[in-house]
Amino acid sequence: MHIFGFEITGYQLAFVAISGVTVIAALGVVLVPNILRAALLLGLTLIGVAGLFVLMNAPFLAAVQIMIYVGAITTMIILAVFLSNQVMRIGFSQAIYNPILAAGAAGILFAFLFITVANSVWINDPRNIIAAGPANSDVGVEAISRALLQPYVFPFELASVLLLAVLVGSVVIAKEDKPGA
Amino acid sequence: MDLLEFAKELGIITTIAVVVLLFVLVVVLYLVLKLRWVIARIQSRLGPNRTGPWGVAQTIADALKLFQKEDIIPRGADRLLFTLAPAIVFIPAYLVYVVIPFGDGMTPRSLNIGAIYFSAISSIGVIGIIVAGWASNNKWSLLGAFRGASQLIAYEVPIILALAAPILITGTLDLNRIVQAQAGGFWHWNIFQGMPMLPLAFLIMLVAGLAEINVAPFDIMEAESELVAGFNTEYSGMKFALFFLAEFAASFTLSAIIVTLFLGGYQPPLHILGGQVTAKLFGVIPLFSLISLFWFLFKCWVVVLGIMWIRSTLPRVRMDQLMNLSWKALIPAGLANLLLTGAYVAFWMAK
Repeated sequence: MHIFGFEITGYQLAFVAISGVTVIAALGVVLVPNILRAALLLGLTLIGVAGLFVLMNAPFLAAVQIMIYVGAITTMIILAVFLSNQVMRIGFSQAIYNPILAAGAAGILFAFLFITVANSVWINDPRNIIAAGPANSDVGVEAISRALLQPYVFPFELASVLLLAVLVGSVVIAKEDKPGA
Repeated sequence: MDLLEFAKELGIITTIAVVVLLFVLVVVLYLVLKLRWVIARIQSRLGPNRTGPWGVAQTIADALKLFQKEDIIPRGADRLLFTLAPAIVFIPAYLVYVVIPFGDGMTPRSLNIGAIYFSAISSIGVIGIIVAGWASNNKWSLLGAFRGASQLIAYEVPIILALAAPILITGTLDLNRIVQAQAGGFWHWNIFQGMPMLPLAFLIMLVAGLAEINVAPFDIMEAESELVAGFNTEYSGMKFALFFLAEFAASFTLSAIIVTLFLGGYQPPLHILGGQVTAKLFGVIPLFSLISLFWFLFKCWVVVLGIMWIRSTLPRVRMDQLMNLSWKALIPAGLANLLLTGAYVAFWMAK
């Protein structure tokens, strides 16, 4: 089908719909004054990202994204909001205190990500996917696990050590001081 | 893929979705009735026996009553989130049905990451429960939601650990292929394989699953004697019906996933009882799928009965006991089990 002279495929429609939801939800996260609603919108954003992964032929990443980011991290954020019950009732100011600094940080992050993405070698090139729809080859679970345990084993282990340190640290902070101990 | 094909695909997806939804509704109708019969029998009561022959119309009467109820939103509630919460709970409970292999070639949508899809999608529901409890603006609801969140987070970990054992041994995440690997008689079912790791994984899955679907003895997030009705105290009418639907849909999902992973899925217990043989005898090809569907549903029925038996006999645990069971017993056992299974796959099965 042609709209305004462009050929529109169903794949592109799905891409526009999903990325639209993702971007709008992401805007909501930073603009909605109610912090609980912002947290829920964050969940929606992450589901949208999972949808993009599905479109990019990476269903495993999509499932893991939902399991970890939506199922665990969003839940944790909501619980944290509950526990700090002062935050729940009062409006939560989302003002940007230093716009120049914020824009700079966002710009640097964007540039960094953009350069990395543009210079990476892709099994399914995103540009091809958007133009022609997904190729038939899935990025398999096996390929991911081989990558994690062979070339990337050091960063992978480093991340887990970091997580372990965070866990131990939070236990130490949360532990009540016993008198005489 | 051009737009026409895309529209066709959408049509197919919608049809599948409607069929699955109807199946969920029928299953829930049956399960509610069965639960009341089973619990009445175990507690030496009569149970529903007035509406229709043997009381079979009881759930329909219940549903009709529920639809007539006034839809109440309490003052001071967060109206938007209060309305959204039942949907957030129900949609994941319904979406997991998509990957369940109901019979040979009868998976609504076969995914090659089916097992992970299952645990990912079912992890969303907890958000709905928290939101429901918070949006109600009621202390019982909030307490129930708190308990629910800590319980569901705690018991998701052992489920995933238990899930990993049969996946490691069969070497695939595709639920269909896990079932195919268990063909050829009940001694090939995963629960009788890889001693003692898979039977242990089965037990962990069953116990953690009971907590995950929130039934007694782990129903502390809606403990009637302590919290009125927990996170859904303020809900009535259709919104309550959605929570109810999700709960019973989830209890069928639990038995379906247990049957798929450990009890051979749609495989018959003996080869001679399977579809291939009967199809040869009578020369009817579609019968083949239907017989495998029968075996799958029969096994699920048995597991569901077991769950109902457990929930009607065991007393409710305390909150601290519940947390201890998961973090101090199930998770360490699951981790050790995963390690053993890994070693078994790497050193024993490789030979």
